[in-house]
Amino acid sequence: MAGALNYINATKGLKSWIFTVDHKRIGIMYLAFVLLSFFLGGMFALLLRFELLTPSTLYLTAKQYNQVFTLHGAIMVFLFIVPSIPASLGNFFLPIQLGAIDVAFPKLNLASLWIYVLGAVFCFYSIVGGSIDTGWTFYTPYSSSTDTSVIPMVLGVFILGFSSILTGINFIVTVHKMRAPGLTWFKMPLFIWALYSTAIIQVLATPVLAITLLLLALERTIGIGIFDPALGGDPVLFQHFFWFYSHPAVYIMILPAMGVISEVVATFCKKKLFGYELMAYSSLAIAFISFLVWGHHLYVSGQSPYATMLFSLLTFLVGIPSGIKVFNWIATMYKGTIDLKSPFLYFLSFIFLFTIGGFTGVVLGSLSLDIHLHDTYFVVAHFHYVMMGGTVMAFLAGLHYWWPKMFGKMYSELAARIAFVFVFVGFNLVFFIQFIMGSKGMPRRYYNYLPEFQPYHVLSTLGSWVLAVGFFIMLGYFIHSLMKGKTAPENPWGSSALEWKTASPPTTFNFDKNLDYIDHGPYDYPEENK
Amino acid sequence: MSGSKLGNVAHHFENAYQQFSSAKLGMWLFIVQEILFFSALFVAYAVYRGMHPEMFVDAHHHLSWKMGGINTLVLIFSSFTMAMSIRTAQLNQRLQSFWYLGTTLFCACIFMVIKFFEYAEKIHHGYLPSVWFSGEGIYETMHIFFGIYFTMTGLHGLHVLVGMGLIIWLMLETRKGKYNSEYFTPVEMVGLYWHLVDLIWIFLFPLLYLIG
Amino acid sequence: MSDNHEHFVIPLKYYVGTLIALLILTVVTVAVAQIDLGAFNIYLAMFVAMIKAGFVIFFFMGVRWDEGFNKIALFGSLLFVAIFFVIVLADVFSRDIIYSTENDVFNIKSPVKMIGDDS
Repeated sequence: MAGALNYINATKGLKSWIFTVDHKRIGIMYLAFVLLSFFLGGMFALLLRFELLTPSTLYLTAKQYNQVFTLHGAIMVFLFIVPSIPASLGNFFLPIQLGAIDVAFPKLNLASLWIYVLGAVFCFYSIVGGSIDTGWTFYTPYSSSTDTSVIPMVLGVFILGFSSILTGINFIVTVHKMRAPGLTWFKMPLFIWALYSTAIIQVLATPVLAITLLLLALERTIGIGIFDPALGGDPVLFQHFFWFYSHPAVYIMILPAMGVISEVVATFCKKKLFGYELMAYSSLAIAFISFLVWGHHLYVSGQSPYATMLFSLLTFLVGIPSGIKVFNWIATMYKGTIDLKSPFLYFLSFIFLFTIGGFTGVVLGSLSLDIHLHDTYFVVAHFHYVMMGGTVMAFLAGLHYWWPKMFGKMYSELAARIAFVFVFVGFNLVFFIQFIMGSKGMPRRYYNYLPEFQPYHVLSTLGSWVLAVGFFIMLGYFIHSLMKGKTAPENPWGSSALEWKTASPPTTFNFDKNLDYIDHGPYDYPEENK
Repeated sequence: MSGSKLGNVAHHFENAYQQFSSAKLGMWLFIVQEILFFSALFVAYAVYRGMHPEMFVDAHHHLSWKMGGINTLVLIFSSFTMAMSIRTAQLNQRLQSFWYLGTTLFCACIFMVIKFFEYAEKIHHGYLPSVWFSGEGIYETMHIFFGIYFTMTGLHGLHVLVGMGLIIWLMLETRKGKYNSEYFTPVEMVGLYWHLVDLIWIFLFPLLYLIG
Repeated sequence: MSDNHEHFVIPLKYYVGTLIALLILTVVTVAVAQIDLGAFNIYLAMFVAMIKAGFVIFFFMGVRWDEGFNKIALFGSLLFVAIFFVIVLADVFSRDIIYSTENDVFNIKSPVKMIGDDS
């Protein structure tokens, strides 16, 4: 279908993109922005890892180091990872997988995109105008009294949150109201269940972040006396408010990733997903239980022991649905016809790395262990294993999986495998050693450290360079694919999913003819290979 | 494609009913997030009232329960007129719908005017948050009460102002005859928003004005 | 999907009845606040407020006749508000197990002993 009209070339000109209401174009623009944010946040990571090569000051002052790690965290969390999968891959494929023409509110979708950009502008203003140095968690009383640019960053994040909420509302209504005839809830792909559960969290949790940041801004300007102890406030209350959003937020980060993983494993094992209903319910369970555990970030902050014990118990519970999912993915592979293409390589690394991240989360959830491990590199390693080893790996899996569909071009499989090796090895070099460092007592967010930790830090920094090389190779072959890649067929991976029944790239209204009544499940592969 | 007779159905919807019920669900989800937004303020209120019960009782005497009470009655009445404006739009009674909207707007104005006088009086006597607090009081922490008071009523007032803007827009559209029994979705949506504004005040009033 | 759904027009009596109920309950709220019932006042005030809210939600907002998921969304959100409330308050008001407070300053009641410290 080369040369035919598709969503990319259907209308031309910058304005047709800026004012588009096509969910696919919006998804691609989001993709560009989140990848840009990832590179910016990654750059800050390289800068901070470079400083950590030596135990004493290398090239950053203490305050500058604080600013660098704060910006790394804030950019990665708010500009990259929270929107990453839902806004880019989700926007592109949710309507298609539902057999719909578009989301329920296309203009609101466009608004979400430009609200995101507005939020990013505020964040950049903060970066260049006296960058914030509070850590991405903005704890009071430091954040209510430091002289760095807190309010623009906090307002930027407030605005970004609004974009997230509107996307969540859009996705929930689309799933409820816009499914194709015959597509009942339990025939939807698991990516949809994942996006739906994510959207529930987005709508319920993000407003609490919004009010928290607003109160922080007010505390800085008019001094309400709510968080700052000098004014009679309670700093732990800030932490309660902040983590009431930020813990569910990490499930906003991982749930869509799990959805992508389910899609990839089904296609590359040519097998129906094992335990489909349980996978769907576990997504909803994760969304619900995620709201019950936020206090595990406050174990040593001055919370009451009753609350602490309650949160520890609930934290153990939240690992159960995730564990169910890992078992089901592995069970899907059993007796499947495995196709070791690059999306599947990222799937495999997800299973391995997310499991490590998840287990170490349970370690941190244990009260007595957390007393020692809190605010050490063990925590840093844990969350990088789940966020990067989990979400980013899944994001890359989805990107490599759906690239031919989105752009109509193939990329070099060989280059992708080489990049994968650099990314996988680099990631583990950076972060595995941090578990060990942390358990030996190396604190996080310190720019100077005891000389005995230097070998660990050097290894970690070298790993960051290997990781960076991997991403630059990736950038290279993706750009090459866009410019000179082979034309992609409609279904290069032989998947049975609905989105592969559209053209590559799809036309503006997705399906060229009315869909037949859908009477089969989402993973229509032959039963076990006999 | 089956659609409403007046062609108000957007291209990605099958029919007017799907469009209306989607809009309604979307609005309810927006209301859900507003509820969560205000919830943190109520939690903060509960925490600080629990920590400083006598200070709260003392501080609230500087609020006029009569003005707060009138505002409550005004807002409740405006909720009624808002609901009536939806009903009359559904029944093709364009002129009545316009006047019910107008009455709602008028009530909102009364609310904001009374609010203005309340705020002015506080500012005059120095009952302000933190560094600007210069009011009379035996408790050192009184600025916390006023910080919470101004934040809660201020955010609520902001929502009233936004609602007023939306009602003005509805009045203009009603005059042009845009709404009828087939299509009154925007009126219904703004109605839901306005009832939420009323709901928040129903809780704010006793918590701030009627302590002890 | 059929286009034949008639929009339900809520009968006038529900609107008028709700208005009257709300006005009466507001008077009740103010009247009850004049009587000193100690700690019970706030619970009573909130109880009346919840009844008023119920009238607004079920009749003005039409939830009584609304479709299932809209109800689930609304009441589900209230569940999460309750979780937020209960757990934060449970924390703040049980801190005196290990902390004592004097003049709004927290002090740990029994300090941690160093390892090997036998005193």
